[in-house]
Amino acid sequence: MDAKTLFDMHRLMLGNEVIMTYSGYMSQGLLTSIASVLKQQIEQDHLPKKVMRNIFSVFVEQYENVVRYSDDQIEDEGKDDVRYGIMAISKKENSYILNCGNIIKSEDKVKSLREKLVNLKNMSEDDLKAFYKQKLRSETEEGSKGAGVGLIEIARKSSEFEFDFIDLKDGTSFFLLKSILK
Amino acid sequence: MEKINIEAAERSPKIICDWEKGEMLISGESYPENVTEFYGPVLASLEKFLRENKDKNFACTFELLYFNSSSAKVLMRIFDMFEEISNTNGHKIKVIWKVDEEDDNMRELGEEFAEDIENISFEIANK
Repeated sequence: MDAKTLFDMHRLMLGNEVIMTYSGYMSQGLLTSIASVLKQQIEQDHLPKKVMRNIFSVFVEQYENVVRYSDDQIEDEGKDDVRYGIMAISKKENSYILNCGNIIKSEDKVKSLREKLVNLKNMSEDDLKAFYKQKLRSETEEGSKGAGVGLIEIARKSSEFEFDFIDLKDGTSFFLLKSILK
Repeated sequence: MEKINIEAAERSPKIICDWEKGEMLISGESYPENVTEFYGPVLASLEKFLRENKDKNFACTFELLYFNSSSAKVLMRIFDMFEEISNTNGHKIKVIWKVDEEDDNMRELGEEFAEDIENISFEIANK
């Protein structure tokens, strides 16, 4: 990639009011630094405390979702997860839009994740709360390294959320999750 | 049992367990890199203490500013443990959930936990 392309990317992001973006391998260690910068940044906007917390909360859950579940991983035994993903936070009028994406290598995983998200999208606030509590109490699902409640947290804290799976035609898919916070 | 005194870090809260006094404090932000590693030993000591000191009162104060979903799971485990032990052993366990006056978010999160509490005292208070 030449330098001009990087500049074009920069302009594209400015045009979309992107305040933060990251693309590459992600680790828990990196989250500490990015989260601290993001916190400083959103404090500048003097938002209501609740909105600020929700933005931060959805960001952490999205980030951890990539670090735990992206299928593009640097294998290094005994070391913490390092996985590839992409994240972008942008503003639009009074909303914050948080996007994250990562690769998923099996159709079964896509199917199960899609079912989970469709299910969450159809739930009312009360349903989400009850489901959240149920998941907090349940044993961690097999293949789930986190608490398994991150997606519910995202659904609860977002004003709206959307998702998509882009078929990469080689048996893998790119998963995208968009949260809008007002 | 030895007192637990963990300093707060960027992503993990301060934790003090003063077994002599029967007091515990968890304060700050909680989204540790590895929740099990961070909370595991504390939860093990807490359970051991409560089961071995059935006649002692115990007060647990939370002064949290933020916690992620993995930490929420730990909090639920703590409250369920209090409920179960208090129910079976006649313990007097008290939870004090402290929030900044204007932090409605954290107040609501405390109220959500409090909804399921039956056997222990769960008080939400301003800092």
